[in-house]
Amino acid sequence: MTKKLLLRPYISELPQFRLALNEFLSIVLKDSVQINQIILAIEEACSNNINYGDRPENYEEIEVFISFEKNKLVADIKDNSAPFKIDASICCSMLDKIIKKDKGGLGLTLINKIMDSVETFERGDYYICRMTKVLK
Amino acid sequence: MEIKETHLNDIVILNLSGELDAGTSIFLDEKIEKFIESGYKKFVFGFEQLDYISSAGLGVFISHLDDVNNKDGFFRFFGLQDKIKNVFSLLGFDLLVSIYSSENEALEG
Repeated sequence: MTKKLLLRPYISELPQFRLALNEFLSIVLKDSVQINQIILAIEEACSNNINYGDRPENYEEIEVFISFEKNKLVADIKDNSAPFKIDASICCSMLDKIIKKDKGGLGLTLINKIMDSVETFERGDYYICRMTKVLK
Repeated sequence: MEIKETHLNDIVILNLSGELDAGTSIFLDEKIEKFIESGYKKFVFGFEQLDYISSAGLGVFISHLDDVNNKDGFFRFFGLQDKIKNVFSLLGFDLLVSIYSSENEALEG
């Protein structure tokens, strides 16, 4: 079971994208906390691409493929913008972040806490961010 | 996202509804900023109607929390849905702020 969703690379498009994600995930998953986690991880990855990606002028829509394989969810985010560094070092503890007023890396932290694996690779002219989560 | 604003003595109560994400967090950020500039330091945030929060939304609280703490103020939260509470927990934010089940409890502290 695979679903393809398209996201125009604008922050203003995220609410509609979340709705579409929720609609699909709710068919398969029943736990609202888990559904929210997956939506959040996918949105954070897309949001990073939108905000920090090296997007060419002839940008294209971000394509998101979500599939369920046995007890595993696989989300592929395909973009022609160079992806964020998923293994970028993330500064300090939450307490230190508060003291330093440092909001950086929160999205990456969430992605890594929620997903079991995250990898990025190139395929032709595109970059793929693949995130997987074992469903319990 | 909608922000309903009320006051009780020197406490600012902000009830949020909808979704707090990269697109909407700036409105909350500006509102908190203005209150702090006006001398307010005690905030209670109602999350009963808040359906979604992303890192950008959490970032708003991270930006201002130290300022209010240093002035003997506070950020208190109440009415978090389980999915929102889970996001707080993933980042360990729930250990650094006070979370209550109702507005009255949050006001009493």
